[in-house]
Amino acid sequence: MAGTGKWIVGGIVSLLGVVGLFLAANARDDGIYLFGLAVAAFAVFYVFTAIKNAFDSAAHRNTATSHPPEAA
Amino acid sequence: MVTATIRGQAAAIENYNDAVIRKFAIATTFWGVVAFLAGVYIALQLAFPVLNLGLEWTTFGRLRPLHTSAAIFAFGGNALLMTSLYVVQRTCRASLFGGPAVADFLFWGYQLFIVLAASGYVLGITQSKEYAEPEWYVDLWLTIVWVVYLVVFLGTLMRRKEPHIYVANWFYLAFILTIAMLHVGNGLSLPVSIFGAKSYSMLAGVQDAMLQWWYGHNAVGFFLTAGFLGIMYYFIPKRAERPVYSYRLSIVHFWSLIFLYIWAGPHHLHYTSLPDWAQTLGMTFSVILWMPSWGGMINGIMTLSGAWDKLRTDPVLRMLVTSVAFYGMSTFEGPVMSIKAVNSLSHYTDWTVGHVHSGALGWVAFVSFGALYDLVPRLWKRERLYSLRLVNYHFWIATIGIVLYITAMWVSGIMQGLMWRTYDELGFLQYSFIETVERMFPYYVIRALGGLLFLTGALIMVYNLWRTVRGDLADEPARAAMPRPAIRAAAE
Repeated sequence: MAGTGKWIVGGIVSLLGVVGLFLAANARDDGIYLFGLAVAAFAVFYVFTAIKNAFDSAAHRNTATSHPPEAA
Repeated sequence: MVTATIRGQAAAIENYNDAVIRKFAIATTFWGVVAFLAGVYIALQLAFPVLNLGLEWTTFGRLRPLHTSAAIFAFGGNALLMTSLYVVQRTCRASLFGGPAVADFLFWGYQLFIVLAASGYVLGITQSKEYAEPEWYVDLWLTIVWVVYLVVFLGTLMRRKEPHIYVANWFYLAFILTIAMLHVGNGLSLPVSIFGAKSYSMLAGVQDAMLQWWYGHNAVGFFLTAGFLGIMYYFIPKRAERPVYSYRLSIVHFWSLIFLYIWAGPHHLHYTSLPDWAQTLGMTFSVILWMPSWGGMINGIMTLSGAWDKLRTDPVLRMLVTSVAFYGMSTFEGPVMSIKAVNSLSHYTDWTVGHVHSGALGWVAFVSFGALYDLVPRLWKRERLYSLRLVNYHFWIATIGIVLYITAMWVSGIMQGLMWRTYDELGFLQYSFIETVERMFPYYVIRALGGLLFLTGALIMVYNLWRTVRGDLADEPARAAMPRPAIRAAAE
């Protein structure tokens, strides 16, 4: 579930970000304008952080496997 | 076999998601200071109106919901998320359902909700429903985040390796489910346009008022009571290294509490146009509610049976148990104030404010502080807190602050109520409204001082936690050590 979860949530958050941009573009007042931009910014932040974490995990795994455990 | 069990348990420990708990701990501390600071400022505004600064963004009307939402949802909400996600993992021996990505969405999504709500209040965007001020689009965002919270919590429960569901989790689950129902019910509104912030409530008049106070009182009952009872049920036995006093009592008071609380809302609408039968129903169930509430209080305090000396040696435990004492006081005062005859004096007065803050500061905040003090060393893998002496200072300064606050509000509240209903010999009102306002001044100053002491205590806590995270240890005489988890004790 952990691996699938990040793709599902990432996809949904990206979609919400696009919806946010759409709302901001058509906003009639400051409240919806700021909300739309905030959701879009959140989506960018979340997805970029998820990508960073994925690459960090991969790098950590590569480091762990490329260095054999020290002999006892 | 014992060794294999310990190894299995140790492996489960490594898989727990503590990263998100650490984030929630930082958020709880941060928003707590924001909420208390906002509270002190608006308290001073009531005594010194010049502090409104003549600007629309800093008026009391806009800053008051900022304070209430920061205290309940930002500080209290983050404390509940922090502890519920910690407790459910430990008591189920399972890591969070959905993995780190979903947990991170939960954290950042909730912080976004807080920022959206707070920025909206300052800009004047409000539905004017107490404790439900955010407009429809913020309500929708919170609904999304809350569904994720329910999925994570329930999913973790369902994948538990421990067959029994610990009592704290009953309270947390009741809190999550009921808040979802309340939020959706009270949030029913029609936006004027999907591209506009403004919306209109589905209901109007006294029907809307009834729905609002069904929500409002159960925000207190399930957000501020059931959820924090979950904190009590884990952290007091954990800290005292004692079992919960009575399992049977926990079952009885849990089911009766969650059944009765839902009915109590009409006690906010005594002597309004709400039908008499509904007012009486709310009053009756509010009085009956005293029993399950004190059941919880008894269970929490009597857990110290056989370990009362720890109240003397462990200031964190002292703070947790004092919170339960304040809980007991508030849950006696509440039913008393629900009685129509009493409410005819207390409604709209500062007595209500005093009652709210004895619960919010004495119960909610103290149990949250206790949980933070217990959790932070564990989460950052420190031997102990930086300084237990500072915890002691925090406890006493904050307690004095609470006492100043609530006694000032009792006096001013009763005075308001009596002055508003005083007639002269001709049958006219003795006092004009402005005369009662003038008489409140010294009590408002005392209340602000009480709040300032409470804020000071919180800042002492921030310093203590920061030094703890840094790994520093104050040079203090040895006290009772932080209770060690059984797994580490058994392994050693």
